[in-house]
This record gives sequence, C-alpha cells and structure tokens, in this order.
Amino acid sequence: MRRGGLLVAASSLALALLGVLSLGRGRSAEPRRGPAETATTSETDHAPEAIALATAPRRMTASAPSVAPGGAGEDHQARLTQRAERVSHAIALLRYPPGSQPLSRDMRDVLKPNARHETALPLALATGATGGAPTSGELSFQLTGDVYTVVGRGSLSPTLEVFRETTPGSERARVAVDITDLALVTVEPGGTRPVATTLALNDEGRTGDAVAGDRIYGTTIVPSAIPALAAYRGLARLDVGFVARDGDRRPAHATLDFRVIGSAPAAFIGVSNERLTAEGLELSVDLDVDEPGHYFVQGLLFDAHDAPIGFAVARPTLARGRATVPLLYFGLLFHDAGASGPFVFRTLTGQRLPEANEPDRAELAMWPGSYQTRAYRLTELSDREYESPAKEAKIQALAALAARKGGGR
Amino acid sequence: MISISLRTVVGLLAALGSTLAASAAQADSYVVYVHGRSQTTWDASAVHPIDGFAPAFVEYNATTATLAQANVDVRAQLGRYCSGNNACIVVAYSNGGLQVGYTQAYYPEALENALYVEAGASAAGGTELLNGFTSLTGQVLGITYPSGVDATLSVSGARNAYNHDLTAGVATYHLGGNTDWRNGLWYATAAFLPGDDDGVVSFASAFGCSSPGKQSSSCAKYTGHRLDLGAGAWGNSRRCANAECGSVDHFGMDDRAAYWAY
Repeated sequence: MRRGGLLVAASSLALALLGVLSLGRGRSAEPRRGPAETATTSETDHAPEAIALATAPRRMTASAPSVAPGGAGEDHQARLTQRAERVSHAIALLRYPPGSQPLSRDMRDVLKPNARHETALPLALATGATGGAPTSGELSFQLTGDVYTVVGRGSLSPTLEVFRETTPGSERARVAVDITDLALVTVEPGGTRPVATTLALNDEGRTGDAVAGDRIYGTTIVPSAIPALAAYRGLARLDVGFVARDGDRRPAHATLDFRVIGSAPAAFIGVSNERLTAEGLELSVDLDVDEPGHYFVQGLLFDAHDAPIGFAVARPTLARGRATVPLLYFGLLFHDAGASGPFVFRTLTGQRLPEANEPDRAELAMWPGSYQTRAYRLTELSDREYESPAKEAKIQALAALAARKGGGR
Repeated sequence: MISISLRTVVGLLAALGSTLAASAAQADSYVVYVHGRSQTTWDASAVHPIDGFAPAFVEYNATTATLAQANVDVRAQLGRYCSGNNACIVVAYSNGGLQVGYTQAYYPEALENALYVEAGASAAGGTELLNGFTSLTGQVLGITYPSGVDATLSVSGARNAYNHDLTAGVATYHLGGNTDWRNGLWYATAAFLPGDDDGVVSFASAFGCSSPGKQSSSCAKYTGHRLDLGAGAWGNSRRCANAECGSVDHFGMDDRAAYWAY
C-alpha cells in the first residue's frame, strides 16, 4: 500500500465511526462501567496486538456502538465521539514534523523564554500566618525578578514590593519597607550553602534599584562577579527578611529561587546560511562549543510584519569546537500563516542536555541578534503535509481505538 | 464538532485488514502510569484496566532527584512501552505530567508510539506553593526537596524547564480537580494559588494553560493540549464535567485520570 494510504483508511474508520454514532441514537443504553464490573466483564475481545488495527475493520462493520437518547447513553455517546475526535486532533497535530511547529501569540513561554512567574501573595503568608485570599485593604507582597536563569556574565534584578490590595487593575498603593536581612545561598543536595556577597536591596536608586523612592526595592545580582557563583551551576536562592512600615509590622520572610549557569557550555555565533529544501526553509546556526554533548537548539521565525510563523528545534550531538546546527522551518508553516519573505529569525536559545550522571541542563546565553532571510515567495515553499510511517501508524491506532465497541474495559 | 479533515476522508478501510494483520503480530500495547511527587509508584487503587492494554508502571525518584535526573529512568521506561514495536496510552499524574512533558520536549523518541497522554492534575506548569519556601509549604507538602523534585516545581522552574509546546506528536488531554467547601482542608493553600485549584496546582497548570496565573479551564493551551471533554457522564461517580472534577482535590486526581484514560 502506498504511503498515505493507510492514513487515509484509518481516518476513514474514524469518519465511519462518527457516522455510526449519529445513526446509533435510540439504541439500548450502555453506560460506562465502574472498576468492579469491568473486572469480570469485557465489551471487547481485543488482545494487546489490537493497537495495530488488525481487527479494526472487521469489528467496525460487525459491531456498532449502541447508545440511547438522553442520560447515560448521551454521555456515553459523547465519550465515543470524543475518542473519534482524538483521531482528527492527531491528524491536525501531525500536519507538521514534531520539530517544526506553528508559533502563535499565545505561546508566551516560547516567545519570552526565561521569564519569571511569581504572583503577589498576602503579606500574612510571609509572616508565618495562614488564611484565605487577600481582601481589599490587606497588605500583599511580591518578590520577583527579571530572569529565571542567569548565564555567564548575565544578571538578575530582584525586586520586592509591599502594597495594599486595591481594586484589580488600579495602581498599587505601595508601602515602605525595612529590609532586615538579605542572604544569598546555593541550593545543593547536601543543603543550602551561604554565599558571601555585599548585596543591598534598597529603594535609593543604587546597586540595581531602578528608581529611588518608588517603594520598589531592587538590587542586581551578577553571579560572575561573586566568587562562589562564578563557576557554579544549579539553583540559588535569595532570602529576604523585611518589615512593612504599615499594618502590624510583623517580621516577614520571603525567598526567590533562580538558576545560575556560571559558564555556558557553548555560545551562539549566529546564522551562517539559509537554503530552501524540499521540506521548507533551513537556517544554519553556528556555535562555539566548549563542552561536547547532546544539545537542544530552538529558534523562532516571524514574517516581515513581526507576525509569528513557527519555531524549529534540533537536538544535535556536538563536539568541541565550531559547530553548525540546521533548523528546518517546514513549508506548510508559511502557507498556514500566509507569510512571505523576507522572514526574521530571532530568540535563538539552547542548552546542553545532562548526561545520566549530571544533575541538570546547562543553558546557553540567548543569542541577542536577529537575522533576516531572503525575500522568498510563498510559491517557493512546499505546502505538503508532514508524512511518516510513525504518523500513519499512530493515526491508525487511534482510529482503531475509537472504533472499539463500548467502554473497552 | 467534527473536524473537516475527518469528514473529507473517504473509506478504504477494508483494504487495511490483511496488510495490517502482519504488522500487528509483534506489537504490544500498554497503558503506562506515571506517578507524582513523593510517590514511588502508582497507587494500586487508582488503576483502571483497559482491554488490550497491559498496565505498566513507570517508577522514578520523585523526591531527591532533579527533574533531569529522574527523567533518565522515566524516559527509559516510557521508551520500553511506547516505542519500537510497542504502543501505549500514558496516564500522568501531577509531577508525572511534568516528567512526561520533559520527555516530549527533549527525548521524543521515547514516546514515538504513544497514542495520547491523559493528564490528571498536571504539575507541568508548576505550583505557586513552591514559588517560595514557607512554613506553610512544608505543612501542605510534608517534606520538601529543594534541590530535588521541588527545584523545578515552582511556576518559573516548571515553565522554563522545557518548551511545553513540543508534543513529540502526542496529544495531551487534561482533567483538573477543583476544590470547594467540601474540601475545607485546602483552605490554607487557597491564598497561594490564583483562581481555581485542587489545593496543590492551579487551573493554569492542571489544564495546560499557556499562561500562568488565574485561568479558567477554557484557557489558551499549549500546542496539542486539550480538555478531556468525554468525562462528563451524568450519574457516574467519577464525573468531571467539562474536564473539571468538582470537589476533587489534588490527591484524588490520579484515579480520575486513570479512569477516564479510555
């Protein structure tokens, strides 16, 4: 059977199932079974091998799902329909190769890597109390920063603010704070280890505090300038003791975790080449590799109007020295986005994946540059969907699953 | 709603039979359970067999090992059941969701033949409980493991651990718990968790939301992630209408995920 034929046939199975489901209204009810019943009763006789769909066509024609109008029957039908829709979901998901996917504005973590996500909390939680959500008039605090992982000579700028919770969306009514304690530690398997520093979380516009007197207390941590962190890789923590000059003035304590990669395992150089292939647009990214190993590289692509097109990843094994990593942007991405060149490549990130005996990944510093491609026409890029034997097998198997009679337990 | 792609495909089904019979001969199918934080294996009372799928249990260090260290064992076991000649359905609970997502992003080959992931109370988006270590965090979670599993279970830690929009071609279906007055035990954690939650993870994590913070189950989701909308059967004691399992706290969600995995 030619490539794609199995996929078409498997998809047809799901389609046929959906047709049967709509015809099946009015038949006997077949509510989902609980575990006690399923231990002794089976609605199918599928062996594990059934996953490869060998029996699916026969079963499809021999036994249609039975459902009843209303109540449990309707819900059971919904379950069966849901299973069939999983086939169409897989078909949609597998239109592109797994390593070259559409990019959308919703993908905040991808568009803005290394962001932090601390939320404001009731100050009472930092003073050891417990309780419900903050109410209007109560004090809240937020300890956060600008990045999660500090690589090489990068820095982290933590900020602390205490404020009175007002109506959502309104400006925070900040409260002055006395910083009573400030410590930096590394978080290691044996426990925390103090790091000697001269940090000063302040509101005086110095050592990293952005604006004096705004009651946002800031500082800057530069691990490469701190001997104990210059070569450190792992989790670190800022411990802050403080007292708000309002409310009950109880001592409060908060922490901020961040990662330090004292020396990056490799560094991005930039884009060295671009070319059209039968699959799409390939950009070659160059790196200087200090530590050989398995790497993960990711870059984002936008059109000339900054609309997102797609992201591509590669998982190469790299040796020490100069390396080139191709990133493929699948042709269909451009067609689905209605994009034509020139395209803009940026937000190039990467990491060395840990070996089995290493605790964690080691990030590379994000490439600060961007690269503009040639002005390709959409017609130069393939609009074919991704095809692979694994894709076909998966869709067949999902279709077989959807075609099963009853609950399958 | 049925997608166009399905409606436009016409039947060639009968031709499949003999061709596929041969390829099926050596294939095994598994439903693979991936447990959560501080557990050593899947709770045996939360196993719901699926005909034709042998149960398999991924076991890993969910306490002192980092996400990456534990994943060495996780992906080896996933690869055994979900690649090569074998295929699988993955049921992931809590930190198991983070482990499976990490595998999808960095080691997709281990999930080559995974059909889908059923995620209950996924912690792939982290939990605000671990954004800062407090005495309350310890009270809720018991022992904490700052340099181990907890190192990547903060919201920033989890969302930066890998690209959650990488699926390895495997869809993920979510169920999330939603505590209410019947789960009074969790009142203490409500102040940490924005919006609705199961006492340990907020909806933003449980439902694969692409943004953190206060979210509804209908949030914009990571690529390939959807609600399991087939779990709403009236009269079923494990009903999760619109994928929200009402009055079910975090610790009840492994059972729901296993039950609705098929």
